[in-house]
Amino acid sequence: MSTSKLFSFTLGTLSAIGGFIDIGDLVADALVGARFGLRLAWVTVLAVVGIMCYAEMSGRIAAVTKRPAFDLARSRLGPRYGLVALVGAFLVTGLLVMAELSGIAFSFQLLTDISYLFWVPVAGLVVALFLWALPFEILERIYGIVGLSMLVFVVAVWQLHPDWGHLWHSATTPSPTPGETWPIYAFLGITLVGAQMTPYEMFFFSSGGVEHGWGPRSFAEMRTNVIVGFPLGGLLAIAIQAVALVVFYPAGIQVEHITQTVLPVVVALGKVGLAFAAVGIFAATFGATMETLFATGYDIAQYFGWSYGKLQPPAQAARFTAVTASLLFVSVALALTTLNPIQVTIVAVVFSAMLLPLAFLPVLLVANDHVVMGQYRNGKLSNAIGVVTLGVSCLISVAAPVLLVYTRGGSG
Amino acid sequence: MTAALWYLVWPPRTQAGYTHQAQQTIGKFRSQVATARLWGRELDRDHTFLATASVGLDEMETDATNTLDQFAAYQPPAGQEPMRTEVTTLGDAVVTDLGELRIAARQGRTATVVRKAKRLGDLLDRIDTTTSDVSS
Amino acid sequence: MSPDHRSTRSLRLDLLDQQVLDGTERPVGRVDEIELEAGQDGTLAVTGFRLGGAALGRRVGGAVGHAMTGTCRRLADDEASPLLPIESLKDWSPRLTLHRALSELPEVAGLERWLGKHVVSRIPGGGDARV
Repeated sequence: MSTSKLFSFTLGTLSAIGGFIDIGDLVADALVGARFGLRLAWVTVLAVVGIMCYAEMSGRIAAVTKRPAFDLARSRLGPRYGLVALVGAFLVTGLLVMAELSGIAFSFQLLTDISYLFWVPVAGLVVALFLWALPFEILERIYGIVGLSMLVFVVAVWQLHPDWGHLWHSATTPSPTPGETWPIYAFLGITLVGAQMTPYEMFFFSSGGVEHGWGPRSFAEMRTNVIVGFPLGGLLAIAIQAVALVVFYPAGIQVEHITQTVLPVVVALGKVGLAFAAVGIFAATFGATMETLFATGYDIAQYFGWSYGKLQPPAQAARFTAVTASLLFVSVALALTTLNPIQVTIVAVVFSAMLLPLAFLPVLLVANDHVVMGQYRNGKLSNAIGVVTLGVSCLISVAAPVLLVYTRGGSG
Repeated sequence: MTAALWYLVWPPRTQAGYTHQAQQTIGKFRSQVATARLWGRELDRDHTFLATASVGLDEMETDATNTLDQFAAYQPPAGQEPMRTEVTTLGDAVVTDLGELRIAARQGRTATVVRKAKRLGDLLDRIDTTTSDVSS
Repeated sequence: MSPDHRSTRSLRLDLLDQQVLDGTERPVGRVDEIELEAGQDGTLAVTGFRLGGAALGRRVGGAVGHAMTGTCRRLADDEASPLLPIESLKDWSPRLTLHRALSELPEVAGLERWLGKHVVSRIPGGGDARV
């Protein structure tokens, strides 16, 4: 296998580490682990299967049509529904840019005790410089590799010498922990879905595929990316839940800060573990900032039909560049208003869960379109998983606002 | 929609509601103190940099202050003023202790942080006592 | 769209709202509006199309569309979203492609041109805004 093929797998790892593990996961997984242990781990497993199915579909669409997934929103749904989809995607993904950027700032704060607010503009500047100066492939490679330091959470599970029977029992008991109610269990399950099945992963993956020049011959490469990347993300998510269970549940500790997400690693592995975790969080949130930023820029550019991406000099994709830069600037400004990024994350994640059907439906429709996809259209497996995932996401869409109010955002 | 938003932020008006809020508040204090104690313990084991522990301790102090302020702002239903006093007194102790930890950490006095964190065990016992008082 | 040899095409699925590339395969916009002309025998023929926010705004409608059209009209030097004759299209599949490059179509994609020339190319590393 040539090194270029090896490195092309990093798109998948980047999508997993940056897209799957982002600030939403860092917060939600630790929060859930501390409160419910591994009793919601099954949600993670199902979310991984669902997003793998849709990522594969959008990757396949990109390879066959040479067009990324969001391109189809307007082409298939028309300008009005396409605009609704765009606004929805913008609200959810655009809001996340601010949270992910704050995540980068938090990773700096972890080791320096200088307020994250100081680091936010620094992070914005670093993101801008990297995105401006470095080609896509280099960025992917850096974050694909550096992101692997998030595996420290998996190592931490081992080092804590947990009662494995207890962990297994927790994972196989899909019900609330004593003292908690079913509505809260359901609400946090939905939060987990929102944190783990994020539409921007799909759009980023397919746009990246178009930039990589995928064609029907790239299916194997594309699928390997999916099969390696997303389960890896799922494993990390469950590891974060597990260490939170072992360290926080017995002590009655509720998780509301990134420092608490990292504390179990400190307990297990000391300063070395802490350093790896800080680097991993940096990589994950940096990758996620890049993905959410570009995904939003791509969505807007693709809706209006502008040139976009990194294949040509920025001056030849001027509208896309201007919009993406403005979005980064606005996100920095928003973060500097001291709006709590953790709360923004939770809100964004819940709303993301509510908007999932809007993201999934066009992709499912196009992947089945005989005219567009020809012989490469969905087989039975893709459709089976795709339809079930879509159905579940519709249920979530309806249940989420009800549960949000009823449980007062998980606290009631 | 407005009704839903209103419900989200509605302060407790009934006795049961207020007791529930009190229990939640005490639960938060417990979490904050336990976290601070953990940071102290890890500092003692040389598992963490003082900078990181400082951030953690500062966050817990800020959280405790906010938790206390929020609970104190609620109007207690008739007859529950003693409960309010008990919880707010506890809250004051939590905020004070966590504040001392934060100050020591920022001054770079690791040994002081470790010592004070160990004493948080007493505060946790006090929190447990208050928990059973409120529930009965 | 995969290459195909159909003789009839759908206005909705093959033309309207589809991505348009210029002669150099560069994305310039989407088909935001089509012009139809009624013939002598009562049939309608597609005579041209428009690219641009002003045209899109008219189709989106409502307050949002109105705002879009208004903004684009104000930003445009001449006519916003000018009409391009249907003959400007070289290819229908796999993508809608124009004969001419964007540089030869000064009335199209004004915002791109303006931003490219005055903003992005001025930043070091922005590259050439030569359209």
